[in-house]
Amino acid sequence: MMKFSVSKLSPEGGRLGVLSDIHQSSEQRHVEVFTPACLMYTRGGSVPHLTLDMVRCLPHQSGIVELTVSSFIEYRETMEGFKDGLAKFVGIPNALTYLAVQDSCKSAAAGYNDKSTVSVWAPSGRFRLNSASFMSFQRAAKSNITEALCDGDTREGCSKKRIQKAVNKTLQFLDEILEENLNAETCQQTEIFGVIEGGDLLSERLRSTKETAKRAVAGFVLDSFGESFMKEETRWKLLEPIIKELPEDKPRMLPQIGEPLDVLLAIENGFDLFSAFYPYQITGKGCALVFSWSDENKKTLNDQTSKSDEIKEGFYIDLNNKRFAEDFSPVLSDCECYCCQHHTKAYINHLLVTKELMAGVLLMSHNIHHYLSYFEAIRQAIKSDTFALMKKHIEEQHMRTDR
Amino acid sequence: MLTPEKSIEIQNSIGADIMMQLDDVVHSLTTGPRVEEAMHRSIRWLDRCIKANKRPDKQNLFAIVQGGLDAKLRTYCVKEMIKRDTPGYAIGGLSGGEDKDHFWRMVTLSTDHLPKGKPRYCMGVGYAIDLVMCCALGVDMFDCVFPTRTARFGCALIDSGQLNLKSITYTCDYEPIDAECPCFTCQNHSRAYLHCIIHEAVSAQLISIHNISFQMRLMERIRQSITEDKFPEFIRSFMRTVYPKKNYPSWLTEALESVNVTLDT
Repeated sequence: MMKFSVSKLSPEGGRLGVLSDIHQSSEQRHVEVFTPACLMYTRGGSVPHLTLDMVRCLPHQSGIVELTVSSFIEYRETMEGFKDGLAKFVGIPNALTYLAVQDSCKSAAAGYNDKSTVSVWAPSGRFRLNSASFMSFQRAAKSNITEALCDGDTREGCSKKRIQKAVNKTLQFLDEILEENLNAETCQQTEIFGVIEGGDLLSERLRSTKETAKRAVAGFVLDSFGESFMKEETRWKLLEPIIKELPEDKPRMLPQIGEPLDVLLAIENGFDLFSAFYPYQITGKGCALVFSWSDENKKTLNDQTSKSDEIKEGFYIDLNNKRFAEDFSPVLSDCECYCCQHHTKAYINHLLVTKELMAGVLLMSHNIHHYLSYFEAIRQAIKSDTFALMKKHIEEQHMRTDR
Repeated sequence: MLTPEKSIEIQNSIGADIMMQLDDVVHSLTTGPRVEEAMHRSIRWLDRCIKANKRPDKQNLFAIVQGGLDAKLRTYCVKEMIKRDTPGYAIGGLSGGEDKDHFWRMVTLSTDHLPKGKPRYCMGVGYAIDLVMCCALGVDMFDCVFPTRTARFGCALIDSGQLNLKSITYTCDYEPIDAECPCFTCQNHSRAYLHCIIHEAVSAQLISIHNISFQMRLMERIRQSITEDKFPEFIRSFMRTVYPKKNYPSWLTEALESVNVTLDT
C-alpha cells in the first residue's frame, strides 16, 4: 500500500509530508509527492485549454493527475476496448492518476441518488453507479488512487435523515469496494481513499470519520464541503474535530477547496491534498491570478493606465476590463509562464473582446503556473516557519478580492 | 466604412509584408451592371491604394482582380491591373459558392494573363482538391479559414476527405487521425480520445493543429512533386485517393485537361 510519512509538523499549523510507493504500472514513473500538494485538475483527462506540450512546461507539478468518473463514464466501452487504462488513453502514460467520482468544480445536481446508487452526470446525461459497476469502471480506468464511490448529496438545508443515509451508504460502498479490491489480482489493484460525508452536522461528520478510519484505506477525502453544501461559519468549525479522529500517517484530501485563503485554512487544519480547479474557474471569468505570498515576492502589477495607489488588487485582475486595452505589459512582470514571457495584458484583452480560444490558453497557462508556484511557496513556508506570515499576507488580499 | 486610404493607413501600421488593396467585392453569384461597376471601382481603388502606401519599400501591395464570372470583365480587369505593376496579384471575387465549373474557368483565365514572374494568390481557397487543381492552373498562394473552422466543429482533414470526430463511429477507433502525420495531435492522441473530449476547448486546438499540418504538408507534397517533375503523377494519385471509385466530377476532369493532365479511369 501507499506510504505517507510526515516530514514536519509545523508549530503554526500544517504539515509537510511525502507520498510514496503508490501502486503503479511499470510504465509509470516512480513518484514521490511532496505535500501539501494539488492534483492536476482535468476535464476529460485534459488540463482545460492546454495541450500536453503546454502542460509539460508547468513547474512544480505533483505528478498526480485527477480524472473524474463523470467525464468518462459514457465512454466505458471505449476504455474497455482500449485495455491499457485512462492515463495511456489520454496521452499521459507516465502520470499517476487519481479517480474522483464527481467534478471538483461543479457539484452534481441534487436529488438524484437513490437507495442503492449514486448518479454521475456525463455530457450525454445521467449514469447510475453502485459499487460493482463503479469498480468495473475503475478496473478499465486503471487509476492508481481511487476515491471510493460516495453519496455526497447533502446540500445545505437537507434533513438529518438524508445526511445519515448518505453516511451509511458511503460506508457500505466503501466496504464493498475494499473487498472487491482485495480480491482483485495485484496488477489490477488500486489505492482506495475513504470518503467522509455528513453534511453540515458535526455528529454525522464525526461518525463518518471514525467509521471510515477503522477501514484499511490509503487516505481520506472530505466530501461535500464546498460552497453550496454549508454555511461559511460551519465549514471551518468542522475541520478540527474531524482531523482529530484521523490517523497521522495517511493523507487527507479536500477536493472542493481552491481559493488561496481557504487552501491555507485547510492546510493549517491538517489537510494535504487539493484539486487545482481554481485556476480553471478564474480563467473562465477572463481573469488572471496576481496574488503574492510574501512581501519579498509581492509581484508588481505593472499597470500603465492607472495609478497604482488607486487600485489595490485582490487575488486576480479581470482582463475583460477596458483599462487593459492599451496596457502593453505582461500580467506579472517577473512571472516565467508562457503567457507572461510572450504576451501582454492588452493582447489578452483583445482576445477576450474578439472571443478567441487563445484567451483561454494564455490565461490558463498563467493561472495554473501561478497556482502551482503558490503550492510550492506554501511548502517552503512550512519548512521555514513562515506559514503564519504567509497567511496574513494572503488574508489582506482576500479582503480586497471581489467574490 | 473603409476608404482605400484608410485601409492602407491601417495596413501600414500593422506592417505586414504583404498587404492587399481595398477592392469592391460583389458576391460571385451577382449578375448585371453591379459586377462591372465593382470591377472598375476596384481598379480606381487600386490606384488610390498605391498612392496612399507610405511604405512601398517595406510592404508589398497586391492588386485584387475582380470581374465576377464574366470572362470579358475579368480579362479587362487583369490587363488594366497588370499595367500598375504591383509586386503580386490576387484572384478575387471567387470562392463564394459559385459553380465549380465557372470557378476554374475564371482562375485559369486570370493565370493565363497574369505575369509569370509575379506571385498569383487565389483568395479563399480552400479544400484540398481545389488547392491541387488551382496549383495545376498556375496559382502560387492561397488562404482559407476552412481548416481551422472545420476543426472547431470537430472535423479532421485527411487526403480522402474528412473525419467527423463527433460521430460515434470513432468511439473505439484508437488510431491517430492520420498514422503518417507528424503533427503533435497525431503523435499523442487517438481518434477515440478526440471524440471523448470533443466538447472541450482543447479538442478544437488539437484538431486545428492537425488540419493546419495537413494543409502545410499537402502544399509541401505539391512543391516536391513539381521539383521532381512528377506533378501530373501526384495529381492523378491524389485524386485516386479522393475518388476511389474514380467518379471524378466533370469540372475537375475538364480543368485538369485544360492543362494536359488526364486523370486515371
